[in-house]
Amino acid sequence: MSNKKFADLVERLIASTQNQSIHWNETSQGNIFQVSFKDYSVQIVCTYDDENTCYYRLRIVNENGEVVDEISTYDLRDYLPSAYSEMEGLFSLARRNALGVDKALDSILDQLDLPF
Amino acid sequence: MIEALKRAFETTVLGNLIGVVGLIVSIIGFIFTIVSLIRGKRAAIAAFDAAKQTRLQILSIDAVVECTQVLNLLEEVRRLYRAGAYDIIPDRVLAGKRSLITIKASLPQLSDQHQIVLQNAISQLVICEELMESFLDSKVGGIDLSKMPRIISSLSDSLVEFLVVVKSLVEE
Repeated sequence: MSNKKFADLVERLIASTQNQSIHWNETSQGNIFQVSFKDYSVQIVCTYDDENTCYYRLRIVNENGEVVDEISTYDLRDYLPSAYSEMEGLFSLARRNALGVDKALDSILDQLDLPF
Repeated sequence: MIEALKRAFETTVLGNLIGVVGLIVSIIGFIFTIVSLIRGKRAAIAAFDAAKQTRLQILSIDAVVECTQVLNLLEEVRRLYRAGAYDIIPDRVLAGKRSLITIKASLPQLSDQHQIVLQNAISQLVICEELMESFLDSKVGGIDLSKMPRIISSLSDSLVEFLVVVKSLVEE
C-alpha cells in the first residue's frame, strides 16, 4: 500500500515540477535534490554503482530530521511499469529546477531574439 | 364597615405597589448580574489572550536566541571547513539541526512559508551530516565536500530572513 502511495507521489512530483508549483533545492551532495513541505522534505537520490549506472531512491525526511521512509525504483515496479525512467525523469526535472536551467535558457533565448 | 373597606383597599394597593417595586428591583438585579457575568467573561478572555500573547513572545525570544545560535554554528562550520578541521564539523551541524528542530516545534503558529524554510534547513543539515560522516569514514577518499560551503551560506541567508520575521513576532 505504501509503495502505491510512493508511486502516486512520484507522478504528482513530476506534474508539480513540470508546472513549476514546487521548487527543488540543491544540497551539499550533488547527487541529491530536495523539495520541502511544511512538515516533511522529499529527497531524490542518485547512487552510482561500479559500472556508473545510477540507482534512484526517494526519501522522506520528517521535521525531526529523520528519514521516515525510502523507496527505490525496484520497489515501485508493481505500481509504475516504467519506474526507472519515471525516477530518472524526476531526477532530471528536479536538477533542472534546482539549478534554474530553464530560467537560464529562457533568458539566453530572449537575448538571442533581440536584434544585435 | 366603610372604615374596614377603606383599610382593606389601602392594604391591597400598598401590597400591589410593594410587589411591583419588588419585581422591578428583581429585574434590575437580574440585569446587573448578567452584565457582571458578561464583563467577567470578557475580562477572563482578555486575560487568557494576554497570557497567550506573553507566552508567544517568550517563545519567540527563545527562537531568536536559538536562531542566532544556529547562524553562529553555520558560520563556525564554514570557518572549520576553510581550516580543514573536518572532524569537528559533524558536531556543529548536529547542534544546528537540533536547534532548528526546537525552533520549529516551539513556533507552530508560523506561516507555511516559514515552516518550509525551517524544514528545508533541517533536511539540508541532515544531508550535510551524512556527507561529513561518509567523508570521515571513507578510507579511499573521493567524497566531494566542495558544495557544502555554498549550501551553508545559502542556509544562513534564508535563516537571516527568518530571524527578521521572528523578531517582528517579539515586537508585536
